[in-house]
Amino acid sequence: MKSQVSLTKAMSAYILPVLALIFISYPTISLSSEDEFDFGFEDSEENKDQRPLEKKSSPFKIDLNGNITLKSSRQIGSPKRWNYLGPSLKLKGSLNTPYAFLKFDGDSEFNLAFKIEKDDETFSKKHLPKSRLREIYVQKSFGKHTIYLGKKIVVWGKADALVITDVLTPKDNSLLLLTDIEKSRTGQLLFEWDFYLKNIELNLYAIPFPLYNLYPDQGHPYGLPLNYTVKNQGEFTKKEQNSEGALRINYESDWGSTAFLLASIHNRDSVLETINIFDLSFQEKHERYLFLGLTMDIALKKMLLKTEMAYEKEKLTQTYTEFFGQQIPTVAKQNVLSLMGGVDYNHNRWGNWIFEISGSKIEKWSHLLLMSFSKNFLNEDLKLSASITFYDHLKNPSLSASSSYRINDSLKATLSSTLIDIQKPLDSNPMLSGLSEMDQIGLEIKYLF
Amino acid sequence: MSSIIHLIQTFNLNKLCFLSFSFCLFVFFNSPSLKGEEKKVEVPSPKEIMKKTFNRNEGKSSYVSNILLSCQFEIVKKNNKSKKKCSSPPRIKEFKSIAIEIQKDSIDAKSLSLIKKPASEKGLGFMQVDYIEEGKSSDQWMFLPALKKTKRVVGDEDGPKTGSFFGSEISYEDIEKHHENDFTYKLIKEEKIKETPTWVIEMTPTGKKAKTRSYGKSTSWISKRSYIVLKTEHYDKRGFLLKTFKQSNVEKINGIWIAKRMIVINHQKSRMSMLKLKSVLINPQFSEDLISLRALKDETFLESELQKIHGK
Repeated sequence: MKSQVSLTKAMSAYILPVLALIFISYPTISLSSEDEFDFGFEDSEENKDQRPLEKKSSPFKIDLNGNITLKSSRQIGSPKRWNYLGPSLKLKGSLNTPYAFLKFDGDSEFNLAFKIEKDDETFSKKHLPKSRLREIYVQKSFGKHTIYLGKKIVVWGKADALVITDVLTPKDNSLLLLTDIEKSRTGQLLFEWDFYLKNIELNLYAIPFPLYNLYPDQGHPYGLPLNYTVKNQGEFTKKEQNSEGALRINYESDWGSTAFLLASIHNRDSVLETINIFDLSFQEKHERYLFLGLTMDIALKKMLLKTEMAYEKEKLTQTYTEFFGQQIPTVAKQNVLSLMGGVDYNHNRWGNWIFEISGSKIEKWSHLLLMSFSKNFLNEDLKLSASITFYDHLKNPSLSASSSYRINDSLKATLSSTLIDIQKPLDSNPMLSGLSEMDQIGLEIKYLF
Repeated sequence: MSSIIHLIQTFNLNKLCFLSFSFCLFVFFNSPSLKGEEKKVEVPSPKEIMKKTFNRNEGKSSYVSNILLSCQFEIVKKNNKSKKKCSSPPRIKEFKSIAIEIQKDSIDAKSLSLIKKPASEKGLGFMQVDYIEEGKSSDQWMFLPALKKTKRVVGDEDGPKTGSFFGSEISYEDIEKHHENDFTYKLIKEEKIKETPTWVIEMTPTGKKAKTRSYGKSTSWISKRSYIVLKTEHYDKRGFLLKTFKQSNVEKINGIWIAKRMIVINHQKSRMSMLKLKSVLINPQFSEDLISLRALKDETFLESELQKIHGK
């Protein structure tokens, strides 16, 4: 560029008079030659109607999209094995009628890994295919109100990863580390009423039959051994006293937003109580408790400060008792205090950074620390991201990295890896050391439509 | 719509090269007014021109369906004409935008855009609130449908918001609203773009704006007829040409001048984007409360409200 400027200066001494004459001859500067662009796109189809919406042809409008994904995931820890190998289909859509909107979201996975690895046959068949309807609900808005009825996901909290207030919606952890938090959420039947007043949003929820978190089935390499008997699995939802209620009030201001959360719910995570250790029989327990939460985010310069607080009164928690040298699962009702603090830092050149720390106190404090980085390259076609999470101690890190490349608007490939090294598990969570074997890499190719 | 119309307003100017400057001097000294050949026509000051441009009647509200294309370009020469051509298929985004002018309670305007295509980004929304106070940055939010979360877009108030708008060559700072006192102005010359007479004005950001802007100077071609910015050249802080914005397909809709096509060329990255208004409604009747976080996260609600606009 500098040489261009010098050249321009040099030229100006000699050519200026000539150019000036040319300019006099052409008092109107034609920019037409500069106006030639070819986007390879036909842009002549102007909408003569000048209206942004399609003409009303039918009172019903269906919108459908989704993706077909070829997924593979291999455990490179011990033992080496396939955890996922096969296609999956995701469908998401809506039906717009004059009376209400109907929305749905479902997926179906055809995972051959368990068959290839010769896992339990009954279990393997469940995944050929395994389908789930994550959401299906009707929605109606009138004035300042919106109501929803059906199977729906509700997301609470401000944190990106270490969310401590996202307690309403159950998670499907049946594939453990293979599932992102947003993909693991699965809807449950509920009635929701939203009311909007200027900067205040009020959400009321009634959940008649709550669902609980899902874990790897018995027969799954990370599930309970087949010789264990667990009572009440999937039975609890049928009991009448299960109905739940929740409330969220969110206030949005110039500097950020604050939400107050209140819920009378049951523990979503599975808590096992030993019935008889000699015949390895256990029962899954879920009991009602009171949840109080507060979330805030504050915009400050380049950063977004996030905080969450949760107090769970007499929540059923998993405890362990030593019995002839073995840790056997027991349950206890305890008050749980959890805190989360975090910062989002966005820099055009240095990418997007997330720092989050969360702590939870039952008898002792246990905590998680997360640092995450992501940045887009090649005009947003390539996204690189990495995160490291420390479980309770700096000697217990989990490192995840992924690179995602958008081949075109419909095709995307993602390569990912997760490495875990648990060297110092807490007594309160002896199961944590089991994660240490789960190093894995994955590749998926996604076609979006 | 104001997101688009604000783009029109952004265009500030720059350091012209010595050649152009010489030409300006030449034109100045040969201008009819100096020679006394014509009646002296009072030319408004460049600040007055830009004030009119910034405050140009764009309608109180708008509802627009847009298409945004972006690609790497190569220059192809044919018949002594050069053409900027996409060297690979362009990335295409379709989105709808609504905007409303508020002018009260410190809020200047609000706008909301929602992506319809491609499928991978459907439902992604972007909301912006512009403030009356000079130098105050706009507030921006994004709705991420995969996470079902609304996130505030936090930029550096002391630095430029150079992040890309929907992956295009348009940056967030390009869609921020400006005030006439944010810049100093210099009328460089008057010339025609495709038979449309224009004022060519150089703009240099001042004070706080200088910190929050990645462009050192900009040069804008302002239509004398419509006060639309037909072309802008943005120069980086080292004085090198960074981006050129060109607006065309200017039409009068409901008595208001609208440019229905804008092309952005990033000279340093050899990339270009085209924003095209597929269809546009000016001054549709809707409440300012429609542009809210509720509408941002709830496409269904927004669609039903837009249907009502359509029905009117």
